[in-house]
This record gives sequence, structure tokens and C-alpha cells, in this order.
Amino acid sequence: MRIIALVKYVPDSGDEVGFEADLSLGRVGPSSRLSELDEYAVEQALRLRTELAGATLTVLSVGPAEAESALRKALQMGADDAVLVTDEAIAGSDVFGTATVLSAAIRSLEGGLVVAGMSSTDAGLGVVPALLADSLCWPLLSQAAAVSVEAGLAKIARVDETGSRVVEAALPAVVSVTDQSGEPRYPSFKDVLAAKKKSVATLTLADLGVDASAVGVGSARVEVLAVGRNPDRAAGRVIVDVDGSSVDEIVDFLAAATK
Amino acid sequence: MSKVVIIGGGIIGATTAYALLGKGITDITILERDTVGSGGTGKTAGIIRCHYGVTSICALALYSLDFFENAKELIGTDIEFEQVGYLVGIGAENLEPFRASLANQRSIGVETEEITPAAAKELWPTANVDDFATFCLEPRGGYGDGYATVQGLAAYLRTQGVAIKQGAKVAELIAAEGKVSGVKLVNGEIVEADVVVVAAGAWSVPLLAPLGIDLPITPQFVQEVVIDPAMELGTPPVFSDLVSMQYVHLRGPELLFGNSDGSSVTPITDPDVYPNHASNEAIERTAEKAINRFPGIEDPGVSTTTTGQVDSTPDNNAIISATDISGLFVAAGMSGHGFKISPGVGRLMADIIVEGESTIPNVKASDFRLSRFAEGDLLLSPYPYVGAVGIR
Ligand SMILES: Cc1cc2nc3c(=O)[nH]c(=O)nc-3n(C[C@H](O)[C@H](O)[C@H](O)COP(=O)(O)OP(=O)(O)OC[C@H]3O[C@@H](n4cnc5c(N)ncnc54)[C@H](O)[C@@H]3O)c2cc1C
Repeated sequence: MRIIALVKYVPDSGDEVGFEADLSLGRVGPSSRLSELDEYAVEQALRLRTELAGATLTVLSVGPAEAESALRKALQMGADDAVLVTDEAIAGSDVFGTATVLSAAIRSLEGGLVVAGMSSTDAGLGVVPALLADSLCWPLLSQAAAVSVEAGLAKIARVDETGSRVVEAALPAVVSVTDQSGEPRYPSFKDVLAAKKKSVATLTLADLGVDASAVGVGSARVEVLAVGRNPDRAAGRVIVDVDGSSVDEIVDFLAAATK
Repeated sequence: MSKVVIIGGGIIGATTAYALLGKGITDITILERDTVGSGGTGKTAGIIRCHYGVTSICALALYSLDFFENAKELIGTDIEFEQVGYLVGIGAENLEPFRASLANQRSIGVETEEITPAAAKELWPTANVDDFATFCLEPRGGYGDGYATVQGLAAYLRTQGVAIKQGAKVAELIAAEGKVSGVKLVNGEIVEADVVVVAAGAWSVPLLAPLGIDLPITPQFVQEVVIDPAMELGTPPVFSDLVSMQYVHLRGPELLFGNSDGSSVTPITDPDVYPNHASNEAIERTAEKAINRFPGIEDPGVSTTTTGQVDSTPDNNAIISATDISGLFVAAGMSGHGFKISPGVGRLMADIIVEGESTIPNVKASDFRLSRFAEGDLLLSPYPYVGAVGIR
């Protein structure tokens, strides 16, 4: 079975946020990288690949040419191969466009299990796994804190504020994993050197048989009207303690703030 | 009494203030745009050694050792100097410059001795030493902690009345009729001074340019890889491997790897804009070199990477100099090896300000003058190594 982990190339959280002319989020900052939340997806996919006899792991990304470095990082972590779907016509796609491209790629790669992160670290919408499952007509097991696969069934533990529940679905399926699913591994030097010999395959929309008019800024259902900076936070208030007086002041402050 | 303003709260600004105090100058203000140690100093690998071909630099490093070794008594804080020794291994092609450099180092008092590959292997049992012609060991070398050192110094300077202003970014220098009179901060505040020392690394360039002073400093991006060896390594010396062109030292239980052939150093245009992690290619290069050199480390992995920016000059050596403007001095362009010589650089800067010449044995102040670049009289090692960056 081919496991496919989805990875996104994003600006680092320390980079200044930039926007393209069409107000879409800039992807190529000085420290752009494999999204940290997607490292959890790669980690779980690597573990499942090892556990499941005959499984292979492909990492898949839709993005600009620079996104190759995110795929290379996933190869260094131990993925078997990597596919980048890149095409001028994809630029400015919304989540629906991204899911359309991903599902075409997953079909053409004949994936049997898709593992995604819980959300991207830049746009942060977290809906791509659901749209993708819908587009593939596969079940979705989202927000997994733990995932296992046995006898053609994927099983996850989903933990949220209401409690913990176990959900399972027959493969093929889409699973998204949270940052509680297990720390991503350090690349070992052996894997780093093995990755050097692997190549990143590049696909275009034409290769996938996706009509360019179905994606990109033109067909986006989400339209960014304006972007702006949050106002600077006002200066904090300094409470000066005179022989314990600050306790009452802090209590009063908290009482007022939580009213 | 003269009023001194130092721009830059890195190790060079701090050691300059320290040395000025030693000369009885107490009215000192350090202006730091961010926080103390937030520049190159907080990112340094911190390697300390005297292995230099240029006599003046070797002597600055030797002078500096006294500070690193005695910091606890001198400034009252532990600066976390790990004196594990410094080991250099070279191939046959570098035998001649290596031995000539060692002889020169010894002639001014550096403790360093040539040792055999077999002896080096005892210090680094995990290493393959077969392709080295010879080694030298400098027992007083090791590695320090740039951040701890500059913080320790800053705490001491405050007790001596030095004003350290953080979040104080200098917008421009104020000079008229060939004489400096102070600086203006970005918030418009003016700080008056008789003497201004610019110790702001690559950021010194735009401060001096409006006065017609051209500092030939290029910011360069550097990358280092921290490795989890997944085994106990003891306390081996810092290892400068001039066959594979890499340097290695322990940092806690991990190993820090840097590249010495210049391939991981790239010029950048803005000293504040560079990646915060090493490239996949830099990681690959490190993995290749490390696996070849350390076959005894069975399953090493990348634990993290660090990056930084260094302020390189055309001869990879510092500018410690007066300028054509009276009262205005520069200590910048450390070119990626300023930590180990910083107590010496601070002292030399103070010497130039107060005495007009060096008072450190074997250090010629004129070697570091700014005008050497325009004159084409670069400060280069008489014993250059084949294949290595010229900072030895
Ligand atoms: C990754 C790395 C590894 C290194 N390894 C070694 C090593 O092993 N051994 C060694 O000897 N050296 C090493 N170095 C070099 C050494 O760390 C530096 O040469 C040294 O720290 C430089 O000190 P500095 O005070 O000149 O510069 P910095 O520490 O950069 O200080 C300059 C300060 O000026 C401030 N500043 C800038 N503009 C303004 C302004 N307009 N107004 C006010 N303040 C301003 C900055 O915020 C900064 O704090 C390394 C450097 C790096 C980056």
C-alpha cells in the first residue's frame, strides 16, 4: 500500500508575513520550511510505513518550485519518494482548488492512506483534509492524537475538550494528526545521505488531467478583500508593590477582567 | 574627562568598555538597539584558540586567554569557558605552513605542540585519523559561551557605573568640522560624546557611510549543524579538521559541526534577513563529512541547526582603528572569529583611543587600520593553509 503524507511549504513563524499582489499569503520567506505541523504527519506516516508490511511512503506537496526543499526535508526524515505538483495556474487557489489538485494527485499515485497535519501554520484553516476526503469520496478521520492501522481499518483516538473517542474507518481513508500524536524524529545521517540519492518528481496540472480553469485565483470561491495589520497592543499597566499592596490590586484587576 | 559612547552591545562593545575602565575612563554609555548579546555574540560557536598565522592576531588571542581563564576573579561571574583543548589535524599538503605557523606561535608564548595521529586518536577515539599527516594540540584552547560571557561582562560593567541602554538604536552619528560630538537615536534623542566607538558588526557600515567612511564589510550567512551522537563521547578537545575542512566541538551532550571550506558561507545583502535554519544541502554536506570522519559514532542524527551572520572584511580580519574624524573609532568586521580575540580587541581599541598605539605585547595597532584596504596592504597570514578559509 502506498501511504501519502501531505506536506506544505510555509513561511517560518519568525518570518515577517508577506502578501502577494493578489493579497494571497506569500509563501517564500527567508526561513520558509516544511510546516512544523506537517512534520507530525510525516512522523506518523513513517511509523505506519514501518509497521505495515509492504507499505511505502510518498510525500506530496502542492506549491511553488521552492517547495521542493520541504519535500527534501521529509525525504531526509525517511520518506521513500516525493512528488511536487507545481503549476503557474495553481497560484492563488483557495482550499477548494488545493483539495482538487491533491485529490487528482492522490488518485494518480494510487494512494491507499493519506496522512495530513491538523492545519497549516500559515493560513491555518485546517479544512483541506475534509475537502480532500469529500473529493476522493473517502472517509475522514480527523484530529487524531493517535493512529493505527490493522486489517484494512484505520483507527484513531481523537481528543478534544469534551473527551476522548476512538473512531475507525475502512481504508482507503484520509487521516489528519495533531501535534499530540508524537514528536517528529530527527533525521539520522544515514537517512540524510540516502535522501541525497532520491529525486523529487514534479507534476503539472496537465500531467494530472486537471483543467486549469478549475483551480487558481480565477475559480477561487474565497476572495481576499483586504489585509491589514492588527493594531499594536497598548502598553501594559505596571503595578508597584508597597508592602503587599499589589495583592489586592491584582485581585481587583483580575476580577474586573473576568467579569 | 572624556565622555565615551559605544554603539553595539556585543562582545566587542563590552570588552572595549571593560578595557577603558581599566584605563580609568568611567563615563561610558553602551547603546544597543536590541538586547545585550542579541547580535553575532549570542550565536557564536565560541571556539577559543591561538592558532593564527598573523602574529598580531595570535597575540590578541593569547592576551584574551588570560581573561577567559580568570573571568571569575576579574568580573565575578562564571562565563562557562570549557577548556578542553584545541586540536588541529592537517594533510601532507599543509605540513609546511603548519610547522612554520606553530614555530611562530611558540615564539610569542603560545603553548602548542605537535602530536601524532595515534595520540590524536586517543583524544578522539571515534575519529578516523588515517588521512592526517600530523596534529597539534593547544591545551589552553576550548570553547566558551558568547551569551554568558557578554552577560557576565555587562553585569560587571553596570556595577562599575557604565550605562548600558538596550532598545537604543542609533540612527546617525553627529559630526561637524572633522570632529564627532555624539549620536542621535531613532527616537530623536541625542547622546553627546567626545569619543564614539562603532562596534556594531555589519550594522556599522550604514552608520559610517553618511560621513564618507567606507567600511569594506560584507554580511555573510553561516550555518552550523548540531548532532545528537546517541553515545557518550567524554570531553574531547575542539577538533579543527583541515583535511575534511570542518570544525567540531561538544555542546552539552551534543556535537556542533561547522564547515571551514567556505562553502556554507554566503554573502547576503541585509544583515537582518537570513534563514533561521540550515539548508538541506548544508545538512547533507555535514552528514557526509561527519560520517567519514567519525565512523565510531554509529548512528548520529541531526538534532538541530543554527545559523548566523558574520561581518567579513576582504582579508577576513578585524578593523580596529581610528578614522579621519576626530573622536570616532571603529571596532568591527570580526569576520566570524571575533569571540576568541575579543578581550584583546577591546584592549587594543582602548589603547588606540587613549595611547594612540598598542600596549599588548606583539600586537601592532597599524595591522588593523581601516586604511589598509584602500592601500591594498591586506592583513594576511604568511603561512596560509591550502583549501581553508583565511582565518587561521
Ligand atoms: C554562527 C557563528 C559562529 C561563530 N563561531 C565563532 C567561534 O567559534 N570563535 C570565534 O572566535 N568567533 C566566532 N564567531 C564570531 C563571533 O561570534 C563574532 O565575531 C563576535 O561575536 C562579534 O561581536 P561584535 O560585538 O562585533 O558583534 P555583535 O555581537 O553582532 O554585536 C553588535 C551589536 O550591535 C548592535 N547594533 C547594530 N546596529 C546598531 C545600532 N544602529 N544602534 C545600536 N546598536 C546596534 C547589534 O544589535 C549587536 O548586538 C561566530 C559567529 C557566528 C555567527
